[in-house]
Amino acid sequence: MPELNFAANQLQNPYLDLIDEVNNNCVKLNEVQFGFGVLVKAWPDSFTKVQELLTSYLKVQEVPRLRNFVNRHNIYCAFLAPGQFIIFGHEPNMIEEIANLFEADIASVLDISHSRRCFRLSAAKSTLVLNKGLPINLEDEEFGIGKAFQSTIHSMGVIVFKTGADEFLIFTSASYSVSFVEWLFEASAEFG
Amino acid sequence: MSGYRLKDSGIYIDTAQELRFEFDGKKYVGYQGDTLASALLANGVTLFARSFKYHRPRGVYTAGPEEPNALVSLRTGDRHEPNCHATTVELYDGLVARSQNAWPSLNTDFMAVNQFFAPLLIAGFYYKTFMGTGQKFWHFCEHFIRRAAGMGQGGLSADPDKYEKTNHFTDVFIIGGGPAGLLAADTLAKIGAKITLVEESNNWGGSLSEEEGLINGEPALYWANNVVKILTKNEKVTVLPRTTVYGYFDDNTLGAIERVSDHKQMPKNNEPRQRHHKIFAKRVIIATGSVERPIVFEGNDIPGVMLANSALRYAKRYGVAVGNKVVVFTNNDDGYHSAIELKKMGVNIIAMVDPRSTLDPELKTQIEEQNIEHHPGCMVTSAKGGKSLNHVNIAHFSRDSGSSGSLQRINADVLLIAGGYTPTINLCSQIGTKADFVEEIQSFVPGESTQPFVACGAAKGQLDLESTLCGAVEAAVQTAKYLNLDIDTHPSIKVEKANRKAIPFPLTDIPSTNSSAKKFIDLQHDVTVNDLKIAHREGFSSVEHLKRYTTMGMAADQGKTSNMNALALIAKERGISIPEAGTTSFRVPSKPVALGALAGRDVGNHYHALRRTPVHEWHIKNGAEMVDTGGWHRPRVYKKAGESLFEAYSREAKAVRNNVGIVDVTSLGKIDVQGPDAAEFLDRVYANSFQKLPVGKAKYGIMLRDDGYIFDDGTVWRLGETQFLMTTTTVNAARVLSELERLLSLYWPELKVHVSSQSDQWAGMAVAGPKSRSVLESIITDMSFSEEDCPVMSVRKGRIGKWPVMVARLSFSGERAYEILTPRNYGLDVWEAIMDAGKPFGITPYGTESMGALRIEKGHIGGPEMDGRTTLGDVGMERLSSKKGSYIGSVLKNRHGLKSDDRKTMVGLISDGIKPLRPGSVVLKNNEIVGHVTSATFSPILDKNIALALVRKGKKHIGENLQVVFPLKDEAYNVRVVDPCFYDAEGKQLYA
Repeated sequence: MPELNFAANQLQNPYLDLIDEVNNNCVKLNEVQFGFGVLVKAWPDSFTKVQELLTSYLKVQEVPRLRNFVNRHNIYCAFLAPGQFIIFGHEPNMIEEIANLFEADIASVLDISHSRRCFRLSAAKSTLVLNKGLPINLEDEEFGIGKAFQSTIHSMGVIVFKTGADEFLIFTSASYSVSFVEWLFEASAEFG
Repeated sequence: MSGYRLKDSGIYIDTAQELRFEFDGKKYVGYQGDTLASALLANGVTLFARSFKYHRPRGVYTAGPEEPNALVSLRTGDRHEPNCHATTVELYDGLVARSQNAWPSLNTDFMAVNQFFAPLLIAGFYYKTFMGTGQKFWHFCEHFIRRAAGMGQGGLSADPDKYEKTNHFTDVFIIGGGPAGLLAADTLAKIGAKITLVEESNNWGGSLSEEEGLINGEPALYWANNVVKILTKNEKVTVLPRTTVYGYFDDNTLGAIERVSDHKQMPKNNEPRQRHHKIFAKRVIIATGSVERPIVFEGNDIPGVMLANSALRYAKRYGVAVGNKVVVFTNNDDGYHSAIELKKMGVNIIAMVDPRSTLDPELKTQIEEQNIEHHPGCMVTSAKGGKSLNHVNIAHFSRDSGSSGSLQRINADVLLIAGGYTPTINLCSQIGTKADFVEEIQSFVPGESTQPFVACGAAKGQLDLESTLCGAVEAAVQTAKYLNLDIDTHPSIKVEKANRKAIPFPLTDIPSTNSSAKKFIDLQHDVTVNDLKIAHREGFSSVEHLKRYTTMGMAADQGKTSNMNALALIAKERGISIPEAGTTSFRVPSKPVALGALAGRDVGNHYHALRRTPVHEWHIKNGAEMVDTGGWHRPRVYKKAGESLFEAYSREAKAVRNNVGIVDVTSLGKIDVQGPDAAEFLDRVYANSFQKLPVGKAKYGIMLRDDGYIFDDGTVWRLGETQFLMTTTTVNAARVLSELERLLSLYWPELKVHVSSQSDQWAGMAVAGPKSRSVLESIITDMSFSEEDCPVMSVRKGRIGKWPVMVARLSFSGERAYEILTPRNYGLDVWEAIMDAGKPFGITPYGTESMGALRIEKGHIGGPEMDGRTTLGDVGMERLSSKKGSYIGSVLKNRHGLKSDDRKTMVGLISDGIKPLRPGSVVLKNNEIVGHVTSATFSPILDKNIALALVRKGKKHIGENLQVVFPLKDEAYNVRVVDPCFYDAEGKQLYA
């Protein structure tokens, strides 16, 4: 898989100026660039096998439980829906490695490296900003570090990982990324 | 009624801060902390509004959101807002308010003539007065009724204010910042519960501002303020003043509006005007208090007649005496409390009228000490006056007959009524909680909870301070147990010298000697006692029918000051008890909600989120006029300087036909279909078969619905033995994916197939035209473009520089064409590379307009031909359907109605007109409708206006001349019916 080059063209990321404007002590926003993204979907009778293979490949004690993620050496693996794992990392060759782990009758593997854009939202008001669009309780008791879920913000599908207190990784569909940053910018406006 | 300021009074106002405001063009002065109503009363204003139907003069009736009369319009220009309660509007410097429902002025309202037509405007008057005489008369009158009806004027310009929405999560949601709500919050906060406490006004304590009792040895309001201070410092407590809960929904979800900057002249930069809270609570405590109940008698709506406790609030909170000569009419002890306290503050209470013959000796002593004339065993029979109260008539009260004895006149400018208290149970009712009638207080309280909530305080009928606070503790204890929190079941609360409980003497309505006199039950909708009696006589006995027939309780106040009296009257008319008469249900919203608050920021550019392709910025930079299609921003045309839309798309279409063009097709839906059973699955969802499609080939596919009509179309590319890429139309992408997932989950779980959206993974562009091969050959490596290696419908992989591409030889335009897919992040680079390579060949970017023209020229179906009413046969694609096996729609597509010869089938139309035909136009033959136009364009190739149409027995009309009309624009054209493929029927251009 060729190396991704996000900065190749100035016209690719029209929201970079907006990101700069969002940042203050209350809300910080950065784009996070991953080298690859892959979706692994198990069949009902192969889920255990998929779990074993992923555990071994990622060198973790166990794969995450449903609606959780693990981060090992900056490889994020989330278990978002029954039988479905989504993996983001920085080494593009890992897609091929992961694809080779699974025969067609064990799981389907899909390259989604280009279909998502990732943003890190952090600082004190990040939870308040997100709750303007997300009907999910993001407080630590209900949604602690390591939790992940899929939802929508302003009708845009998002995947959210909680990576720290008041810190989130938000994956949006690439085509919605500008609309998402515009939404975030306006949602943050009242916090300065 | 002529109000004035009391000296050194008013706990909520700051007399050091003067505020200037305007009402009906006249300037006044008030103080920080005033409401609009208190400031106007203090300035001696009596007349606030005109009533809804009869345009009777009306004054302020209450001091809170239950106000039925004093509705005003605020602000000017785009920020104008009608129907605001003057009793809750917080005064600010520069406030501009206007009265409503009066012309030319509040003082002289021409529509007051309605009072003379009162006999024609009784309950059900629409039907009896206007509709009964026939439709024509009703339609004539309807115009005038609509002009006269309504309350306030809506604005026509866009609201310039910002509104926000948020989702709010809490363990305990407490509604009401009065004594019950505060104590419940304090009790639960001490054991660490996560609490959200909301209060409708900007002041805490509720009824404690009129409470003389002591709580734990402190004055009640002092106790309340201390509790609020403690709560606001608690990190686990969120305190929201100026927040109204308007709706209680399933799963303990509630809606509330926080008035963030309504009390300011202008919101600060980026400050929203209001914020909508969607609250998710584990447990709710409803402490919404109660509303004082009026007593019904003749003239009970004259300005100067108001509720007693409200008058006390004006005095205590805002330092306003509501009048100079005040009479109090009460059927319970609380009325005495109001009168005595007002007198102590300097308000001239001249008489107490009470239908009860005996009085508590302590109260008797107090009123004697205050020199208040006492009339026990009496009632007010009428209030007299015009734009203000002049005098009241009282008579002795008999339980049997209702009245006896001669009338006695008392001159007064204010009559205060104290008829007991009605618990505010709206929110409980919204979620289906039945109401229980409590005889003692002659009112309904919430019954058994249907959701995790508990009511307490006055909302539960606990009308004295001690039982209110005990009720709050009990509610807190129940809530703590529900949340598994440890709680000391006996928190320490001591109440002394509290106000008396209001136990009303039952009094439905006072008989009047004047049979035509108006006794108002519902002030806001001008519904009288007579209206209810007429409705009952006409057979509308059920409380639900009676409500709708008379519109009683259906105004914006939802009958807060009228429902209980109405139910009592209905029960009396029917000769049954009040609980037997039953109640109606309160609906959401319990208070009016601004549409802006419900919309939040989903307006203007953010009405819905837009999807952009990776080439978006390039399109803008190169002059594209964009259009919103299926949620995507796509180029419509690329206008050159001075070009019209028509000229631009004609130029682009010609460029594709003669040369080469490129169009951004990233928006097409793309779905990955993977698994050992992928081919079998596709055979079941498409009308045509894919099992034998080789790897590296693509095929056109058409999907049907269960009922046999066309659902969507697209192409399927076989990327591997067990992997396919489906393309769909832009608009249906999500629907198709959803349908595929539904089929796999519910009907075919045994199939090993996964479907996943890839719409965002790939950028797509179509390069079309006779020179398309030359352009692509010059830049794409690792693949051959020869006819043998890259035939029509083949799929190959190559590279443009370092960027990988997938090339499918497909054509929507009818020309030689290739669809290029590349991973999205390379989309712009690949586009620019093709544009660079195409320059020597005169490559032209083209948009959706010319894309439409090209496909119509070829007779290819698009969205308008797949509108949910067409079959394969209708659009000439029956030959595509598989003869083997079954697929979605295969059975029902063969039912009789879908196979009929009489169905509309697709044809082409060539027009003789100079203007394009319009989609949706009607096709006529000898003035009989035979079909409609689906898609239309100007064909640059034919130099004519053409269209695709669905016409009954279409093929049989080929060669005939028909007519196409568009009545809305009065357009009519002659058309010739032709084959729907206008251009290159043999398909030679695919190989050009």
